[in-house]
Amino acid sequence: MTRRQEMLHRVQQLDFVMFEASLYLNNQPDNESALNLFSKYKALAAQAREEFEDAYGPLTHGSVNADRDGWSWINMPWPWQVED
Amino acid sequence: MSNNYEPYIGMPIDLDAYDVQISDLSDGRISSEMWPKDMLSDDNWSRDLVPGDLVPVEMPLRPETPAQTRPGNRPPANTAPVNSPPVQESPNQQRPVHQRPGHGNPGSEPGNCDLIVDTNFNNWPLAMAYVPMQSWEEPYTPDKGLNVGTIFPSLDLPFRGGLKR
Repeated sequence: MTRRQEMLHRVQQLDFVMFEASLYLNNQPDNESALNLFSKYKALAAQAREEFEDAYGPLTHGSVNADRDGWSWINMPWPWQVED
Repeated sequence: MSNNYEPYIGMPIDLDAYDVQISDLSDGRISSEMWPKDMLSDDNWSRDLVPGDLVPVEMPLRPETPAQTRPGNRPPANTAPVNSPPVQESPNQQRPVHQRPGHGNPGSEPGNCDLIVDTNFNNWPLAMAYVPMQSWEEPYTPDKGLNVGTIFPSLDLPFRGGLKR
């Protein structure tokens, strides 16, 4: 697994835990453990996403840092040009 | 069996009332077919089931049946009701017992009798489903969670087609 793949996979894992915690909280919004899990992984996922995007470009339109990078969404390589 | 008759998972059945044929498909799978004995052995029943048919089933925990509703008081097989409720003969509104036409009742024991069940599901009362509230538990690691599709061990329930885990 390349470094890029590893970092992207990490984002997916952390996003998934955050998502699972949010589903639990939909049923039991006052559960302390679930709230802690959500907050922890929300921060971890954001951090991992930022690290990936700094290295390999934005994952979504909303994460384009236009002030710093200009319109980086169209920067090469495109997803199908990435040789993982 | 006709497509008009839709068995469903959990449907109570009396295995004694069916001929079961299990075939080995030789590719790791097995196939099973069930044919109601009555439907094949009696001319009046040798047709596909349609909604509204009355079929014998086995129900557990059935209350004791009064003697007057035991076999003998029921209509003969060739008058088995179709698309109509069974004749109610029991004085205390208990559901009638049905003995399969042309057969004894070898598998039946007290409290383990056949009942007539209306297969026109439109006549059945609605049921209520429930999901128990989930309890908190130590979640999987993100790595494992993404792999198995849940971070909660109690929801990690891979489908194995009825085989033991």
